[in-house]
Amino acid sequence: MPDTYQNPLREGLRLERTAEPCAIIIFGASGDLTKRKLVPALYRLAQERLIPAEFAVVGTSRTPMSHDDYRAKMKDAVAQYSEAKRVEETVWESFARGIYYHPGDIGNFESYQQLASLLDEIDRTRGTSGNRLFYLSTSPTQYSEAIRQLGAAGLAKAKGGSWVRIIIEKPFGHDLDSARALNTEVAQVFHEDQVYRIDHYLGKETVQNLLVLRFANGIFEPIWNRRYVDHVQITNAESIGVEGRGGYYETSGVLRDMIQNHVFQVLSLVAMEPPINLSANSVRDEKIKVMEAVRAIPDGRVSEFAVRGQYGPGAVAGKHVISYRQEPGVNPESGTETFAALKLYIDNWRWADVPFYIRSGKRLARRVTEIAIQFKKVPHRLFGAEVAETIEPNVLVIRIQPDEGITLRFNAKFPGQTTRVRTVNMDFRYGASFGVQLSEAYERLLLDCILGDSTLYARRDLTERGWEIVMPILEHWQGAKPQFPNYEAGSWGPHGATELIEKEGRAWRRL
Amino acid sequence: MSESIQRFESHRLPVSAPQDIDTGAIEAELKSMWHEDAREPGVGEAAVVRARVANLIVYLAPGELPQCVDEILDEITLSHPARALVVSCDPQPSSPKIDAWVAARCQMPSAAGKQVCCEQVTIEASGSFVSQVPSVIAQLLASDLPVFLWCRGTPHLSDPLIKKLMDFADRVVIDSSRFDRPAGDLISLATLIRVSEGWTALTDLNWANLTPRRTLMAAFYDVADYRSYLERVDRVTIEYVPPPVDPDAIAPRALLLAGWLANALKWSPVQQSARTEENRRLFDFSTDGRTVTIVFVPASRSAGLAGTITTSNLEVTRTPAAVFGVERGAGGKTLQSRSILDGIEKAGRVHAYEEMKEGGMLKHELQILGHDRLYENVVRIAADMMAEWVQT
Repeated sequence: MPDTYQNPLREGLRLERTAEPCAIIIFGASGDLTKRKLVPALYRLAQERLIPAEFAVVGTSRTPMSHDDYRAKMKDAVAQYSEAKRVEETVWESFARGIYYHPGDIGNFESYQQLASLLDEIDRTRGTSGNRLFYLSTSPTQYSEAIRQLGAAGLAKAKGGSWVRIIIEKPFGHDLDSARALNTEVAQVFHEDQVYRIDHYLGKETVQNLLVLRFANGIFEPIWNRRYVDHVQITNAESIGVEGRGGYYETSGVLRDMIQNHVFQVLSLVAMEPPINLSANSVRDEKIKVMEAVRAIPDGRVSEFAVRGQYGPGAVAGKHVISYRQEPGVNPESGTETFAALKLYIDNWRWADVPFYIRSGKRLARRVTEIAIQFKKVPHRLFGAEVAETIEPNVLVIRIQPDEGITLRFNAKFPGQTTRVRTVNMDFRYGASFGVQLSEAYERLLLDCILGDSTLYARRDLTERGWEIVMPILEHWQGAKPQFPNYEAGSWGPHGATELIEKEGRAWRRL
Repeated sequence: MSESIQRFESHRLPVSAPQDIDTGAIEAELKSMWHEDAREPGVGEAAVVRARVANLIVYLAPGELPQCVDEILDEITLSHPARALVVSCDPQPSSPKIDAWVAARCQMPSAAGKQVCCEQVTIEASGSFVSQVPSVIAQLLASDLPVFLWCRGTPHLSDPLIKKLMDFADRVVIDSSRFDRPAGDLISLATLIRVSEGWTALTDLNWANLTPRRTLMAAFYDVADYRSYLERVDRVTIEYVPPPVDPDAIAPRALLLAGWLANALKWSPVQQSARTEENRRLFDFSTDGRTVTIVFVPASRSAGLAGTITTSNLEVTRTPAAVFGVERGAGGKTLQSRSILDGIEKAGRVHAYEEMKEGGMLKHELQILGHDRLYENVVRIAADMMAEWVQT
C-alpha cells in the first residue's frame, strides 16, 4: 500500500508537490528517449527540488558499462538536451551519486535477480524506501518479456508500505488484438493501479488547460453541444518527415503513430462530460464513456469517412525535401500512410450529428496542433445580404503547439459610417500573458507517476477503445493498394481530405 | 525569453491646478500612447500587444525615487503584464506639489513575436497633496483585474495613506527583511495582520525567500525511515546573519522559520522561556510531553547576505541521536541537505540556490490571490517570541 502519511510541513501555499523517495529503473538506458527526455526531465525536477535526495535512477540495458560510465553519458545527455544546455557541477555531482547502471538482458531471469539485489542495496544506501518505478523505454517487442520477467523475479510486488509502478511507452500494441494481449500480460503481473500508459500529449500545458477552459468557466459548457456547435476540427500537422525512423514508421503509419493515441486523447477531453471530481478514475471514466459513443465506421464505407495519403517530394519552409518512399529504411513501394483524415460522429445527446474532423500528417505545410470548435452560423441575417456574406461563424481555437493559447474569433463592426463587418480574434497566449517557461511534458508526467496520480495517463479501456475505432480503417486499407504518393510535401495533404470535408459544405481551417 | 526591454516615457502631464490632478488627462495620455503603437509596425519593428493581468500599486519607501523600481517592473512585465501605479509620497515637505507621468514598458517574449507592453503611471505627491493620492488611484485602477499593493517600506498603521491604499488591494506585499526595526516591526506586522483580517491578504517577500529551505526541510518528513527520529526532535538550531539595521536583532527570516516549524508541528510556546546564553537566544516550546528548544545563533557578517539564514538543523540530542540539516554553501550558491542518524550520514543532496531577488519574488507573489493563512499564523508565533525577548 502506498504511504498515506500526511507530511505536516507540506501544508499551506507555495510548497509544490514533491516526489517520495523512490528508484526509477529505466529499461532502454541508452536509448534516445532516455537521453533526450527522461534523464533531463529528472535532473530538472531535482533542480527544482521536486524530487528528494533519497532518489535513484537505475539504467539497464545489454551494453556492459560501469556506474561511472553511465553517469558520464547521462551528464552529456543533460548538457545536450536539457533546456539550460548545461549542468552545474556541484549540483550534478550530487544528483549523479544517485545514478546507477545495471547491465542486463531483458530475457534473462538472473539479470532480474541481480537487479533486485541492486535495488535492495540502493534502498539501504540511498533511502529509496522500496518504492520502485519501472520505465519501459525499450522496443515495444520487448515489453511482454520484460513484464513477465519482472513478475517472475518478484519485482512487481511491493513490499510492506512501499509501492511499485510501471510506465509503458507508446505504441501500446500494434492493433486491437496485440493491445489486448499486451494488456492481458500486464494484468497478469501488475494491478491496473500500478500501470501508467504514457501519452506525452497529456503532459502538455495546453492539453491540461482544456479541462480548465471547459470546467472553470461558466460560459462555455452551455454552448458546448450540438445545438450551437457545427463541427469540430482537430489538426495535428508536422512539417518534418520521419527523421531517420523510416524502419519503425513502415510498421506504423500515422493512424497508429498519432491518431489512435494522441489525437484520440485530445478528442476525449474535448467531447467528454464534466467529471464529478478530478480524481484520475473520474476523469478517465468520462473519457472512455465518450469514446464508447464514437460511431463505428460502417462496413464497406470506410472511404466515406477516412482518407489516407503519403507525401511525395516537395518543399517545406523553402527547402526541397524527398518523398517518403525515398527516406532511409522505407520500402520504395511502401503503402504506409503518412497522412490521414477522418470524419467521426459521437452518438450521444451532446454531440449527435456533429462531425468531428481529424487530420494528422507528416511533411505538411507547417507544424501546428490545434482544436477548433466551429459554432453554427447566426440563424437570422440582420445586416443585409452584402454584409451577411462577410459574417463568419464564431470559432474557438485551442492551440496546443506551437504558440500555445486560446483564440476566440468573433465579428465586429469596422469603424466608419456604414456597417461593415470584419472577423477579429481575441487571443490568449501563454507566452504573452504569463511569460513563463512551460514545463516539459515529461517532467509533469514523471512527477505525477511518482506521486501516484494517473489522471494524465491512459487507462486500459481507452487504449483498447482507440484500437477498436481505427481497426476497420486499418483492415480496409490493408486490403486495398493505395495510389501513393498522393500529396506534395509542404502542402496540406491529399485532395481526398479536402473532399471529405467540402462535400458537406465545410472547409478545413486555413492555418 | 525577452530580447530587449524598452521603456517609452511621456512628457510630464500638465497638472491643471495646484489643487488637483487630472486623471482624465492621464487616461487620455495612455490612450494616445497605445494608439501610436497600434499602427502597423515599420521595418525592423515588432507589432505591439498591450497586456494587463493585474493592477500593481507600488508604494515607495520614504526617500525612494521612482526609478529604483524600473528594473523590477521590467522583470515582471513578461510574466505579469500589469498596470503599474508607482506612488511616491512625502508628507512633510516645505512646498506641497503633485506630479504625474505615464510610461510604457515593452518586452519581446520571443525573437519572432510581438512586443508585450504594459503601462505605468507614476505619481509624486508631497505635503497636503498626499491625501489626494487614494482618489487618484481609485480612478486609475484598471477594472476587473486584481489589485496588488507592494509596500516597499515598513507598513505602519500610523501612516494615513497605508490603510487607504490597502483598501484597494486584494493582496499586500511587504518585505520584512527591509524592516527599519526588525523586532518592533514584526510585532506591528502581527497587529496589522489581525486588524486587516477579512479585508485584505498580506504576504512577505522575506517569507517567499524561505520556500527553498522549507522545501528541503519538509522533505525529511517524507522519508518513512526518518520519522521515528523526527518525532523526537528536541532542539532546533537556526544560524542567521544579523539584519543590517540592527546587528543585535534576530533576523526576521529566522523567526519566520521558527514560527513555521512551531505552527506546522504544533509546538506550544512555553511562556517566559526566552533567554540568552552568550550571544545565542533560546526559546522553548512544548509538545508531546517534551521540550523543544529553538536556538538562534548569529553568524558573522561574512557568512552571507544580511538577514539570511546560513544553517537550520532539526536535532535529536538523546540517543539514538540524529541531525537533519539544511546548510547554505560557501558563496551562497548551494543548499545542502544532510541527514545523520546515529552518527551515520545518509543520502544528501546539493541543490543550486540563489537568493531570490525582488523581481523574482514579486513575480511569484503575483500568482497568488487570497490569504496565506500559514504565513499569518507564522507571523503571530514569531511576534510572540519577539515580544518575550523585548520584555526580558
